[in-house]
Amino acid sequence: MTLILVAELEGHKDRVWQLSWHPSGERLASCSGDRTVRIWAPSDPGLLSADSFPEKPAPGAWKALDQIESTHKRTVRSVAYEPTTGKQIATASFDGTTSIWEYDEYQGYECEATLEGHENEVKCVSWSPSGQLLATCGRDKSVWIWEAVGGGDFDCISVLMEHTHDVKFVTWHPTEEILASVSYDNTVRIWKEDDDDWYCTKILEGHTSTVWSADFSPDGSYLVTVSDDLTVKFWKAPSVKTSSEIEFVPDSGSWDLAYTVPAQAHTRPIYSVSWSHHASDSGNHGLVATGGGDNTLRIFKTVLNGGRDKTGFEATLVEELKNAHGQYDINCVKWNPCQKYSCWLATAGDDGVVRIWYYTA
Amino acid sequence: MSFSGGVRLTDLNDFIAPSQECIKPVEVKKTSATKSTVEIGSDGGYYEVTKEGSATKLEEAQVTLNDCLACSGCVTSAETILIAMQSHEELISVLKANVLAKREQRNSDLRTVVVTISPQTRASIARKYNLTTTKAGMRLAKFLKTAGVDFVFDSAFSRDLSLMASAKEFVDLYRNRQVGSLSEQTFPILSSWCPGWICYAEKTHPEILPYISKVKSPQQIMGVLVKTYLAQSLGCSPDKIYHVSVMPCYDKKLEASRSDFYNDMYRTRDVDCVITTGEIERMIVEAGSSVQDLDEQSFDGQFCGQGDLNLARSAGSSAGGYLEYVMSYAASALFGMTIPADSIANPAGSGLKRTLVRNHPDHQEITLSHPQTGEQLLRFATVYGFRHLQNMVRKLKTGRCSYDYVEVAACPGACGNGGGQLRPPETSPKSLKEWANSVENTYKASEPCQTPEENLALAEVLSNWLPQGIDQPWPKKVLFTSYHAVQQATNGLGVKW
Ligand code: SF4
Repeated sequence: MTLILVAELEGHKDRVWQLSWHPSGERLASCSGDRTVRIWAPSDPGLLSADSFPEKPAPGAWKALDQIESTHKRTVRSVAYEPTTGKQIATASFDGTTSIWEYDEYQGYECEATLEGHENEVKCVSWSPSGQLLATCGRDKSVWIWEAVGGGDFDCISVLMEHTHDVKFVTWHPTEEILASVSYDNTVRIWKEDDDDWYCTKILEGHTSTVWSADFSPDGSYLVTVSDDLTVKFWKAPSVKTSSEIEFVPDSGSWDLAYTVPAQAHTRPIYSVSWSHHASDSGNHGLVATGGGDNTLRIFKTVLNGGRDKTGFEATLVEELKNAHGQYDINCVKWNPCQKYSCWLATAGDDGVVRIWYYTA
Repeated sequence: MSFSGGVRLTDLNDFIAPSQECIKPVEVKKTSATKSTVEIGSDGGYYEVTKEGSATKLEEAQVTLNDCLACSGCVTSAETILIAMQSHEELISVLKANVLAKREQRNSDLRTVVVTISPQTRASIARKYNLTTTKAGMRLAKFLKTAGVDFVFDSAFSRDLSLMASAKEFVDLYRNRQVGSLSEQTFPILSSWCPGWICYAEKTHPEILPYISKVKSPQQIMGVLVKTYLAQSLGCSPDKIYHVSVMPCYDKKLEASRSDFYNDMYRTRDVDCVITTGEIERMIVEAGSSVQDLDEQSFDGQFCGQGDLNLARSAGSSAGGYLEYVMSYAASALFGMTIPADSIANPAGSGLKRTLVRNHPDHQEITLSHPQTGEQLLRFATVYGFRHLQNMVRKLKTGRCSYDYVEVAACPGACGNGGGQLRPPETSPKSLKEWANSVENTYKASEPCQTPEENLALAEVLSNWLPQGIDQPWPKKVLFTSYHAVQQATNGLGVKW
């Protein structure tokens, strides 16, 4: 067994939707149908650097640090730490609003701004790597881009209405200001700014049902998407030279489909995907975790060159854990974004529990 | 078809995908006042069953565009309804019916066909076919007249009236605020002529509605002019006139079909049909002709610029020049300053300052300061495009919007760039933007600027039509309208995701 369950975090009173690691990798935020956000951390910070663990998760190994009793009127569907300092947390809710929370030593988390605009349920919120931009998307088929204007407030700088259905998830490229959105319309769209306007530079077609989630490889050379059609697809970002030396010119190249993990790998919709930040020797792009409606947590190892596919890309299933959240759906899987903690994986499920795993190859 | 951002977000996307949420079919008129129940019969129809057990088949509910607009869930596609109700084919069939009626000498069935063309439409055609806007308009006039249209008017004419009413409304409210007989709540005044914006505000920000100017748009003022003044002077009833307007966007179709602009007595709309610039171009092509090959003919003098040959425009952008005229009028009425409207478009000195907010041309601030004391007297803004509109609404709701007047347009770049305008051959984001800019330049470079007071044809109409003057008790019904918050249907589906 190479996947070790280190902690089970109980406290949410409803299903847990999404997780976000603090940029330090030492804290984790979770959001839930109970309208709260909870912040978790290991009781002993040294735990994250350990490499052997008791067979059963030790109670109290991780603890609840804090809780945001959000003012959201409905489910908090998405949560995201500001990625440069982690001082702010963004939450997106089914009540149609997105809130920005900042930690204050005396007051705890305080709502700094509420971004209204979406007609109804907001499904996802994501910060750009610089922390300057925020993307939100939702049931109203739109993707919004907001810009920090200081004082915790944001201005809307674009409303992108090209998806023809519910937009499920948005995520930023790790180094460029490029956004990917995925939708119930089965497509993935890539957005980019030109001369103060955002536009869709590419539509990735291939999934035959709702696309639920997406993640870029840490170097930005690949995008992975997961879908209701039970497949995991890997798309090659254009003009990638090598994994360490990227020249990213989205308009000039095509986003080719590099590899599809065949449908047999999953038996129910895949809701979440995460690309690990595991140190990767050239050609090895690290690990990709997926989770979804079949209650199974899977880990794929990706190979950039020399793989079986004609593009040289390959993803092989290296770990499969059934019932990672018992008989419940897995709503989110998230690798720790810090290189030194890159073996840590967090998952969230319909059982209302957050689980912390340690993976050794 | 493509609606403006706000409309797309709030309404039509919901309409286009059939949804289970439509509540309309349930609202079936029942026949008896006493207690009865509604049952579904074996034929799928609805039956009203009284206590005594007798069943009457109920009228099948019809969902109209208005139902759709007044509701947020929907059973049918507004697009289909719009296309059926308001298309160039409608116009063609009315013209055909006229020809037939004439031939069969059924004079009572004849309808006078009136077409009002917007100056933004002329600018779009002019840009594409490399004409002046006046020539572009005159070619459209020729085409329409040849097709059997009786009158061709210019909506810049009724816009002058809309501008005057807007300026008067602003000054009245401003004075009321000064004497304290008004809550601060009314300011800023937000312009009202863009239906994309109105639709969005009614659906998503009902608390903003009190800020919106009550003045009708140029299209709807022309509607009243045609269905009252013109009808009277022709000696016919309003329903004997078929009034079409040619506009830069689909949103104008929604505006024309608002119940506020429906005459119950004569069962007629002020504007019966709206076609877009693109649709009139298609109409010309389908008639086997082309804008290049058309001859020219002048508009009809009653409702057009400065008499029959010359078209004119108001100072300002393709949004219509509301900001410029309202500021010019207010400067004079409130502070005794002479600030010509076209000097506001390109200010140089005289206490005027125009700044791009965060360097974006779609959000500009125009301030007027006292030339001696430097005290800021008026603070106006243009807010074009959904993104800026959105930020303005957010500021307004949190009490951080310190403008006196805002010219609001749902489309980036305003009406020159409306969703119903002609598109460039290339449609990359860059060329679309360049095209929009060049349409705007064509619009601005067109006819000479004229103030509403200089509009002689309008002065003549006003002296006959509203002899009491537009300063005296406002001809409210004629020039003003109202807005209605639309109740959001809650999402009753309880969808997990
Ligand atoms: S800005 Fe002009 S073209 Fe655009 S929706 Fe409003 S009225 Fe129509």
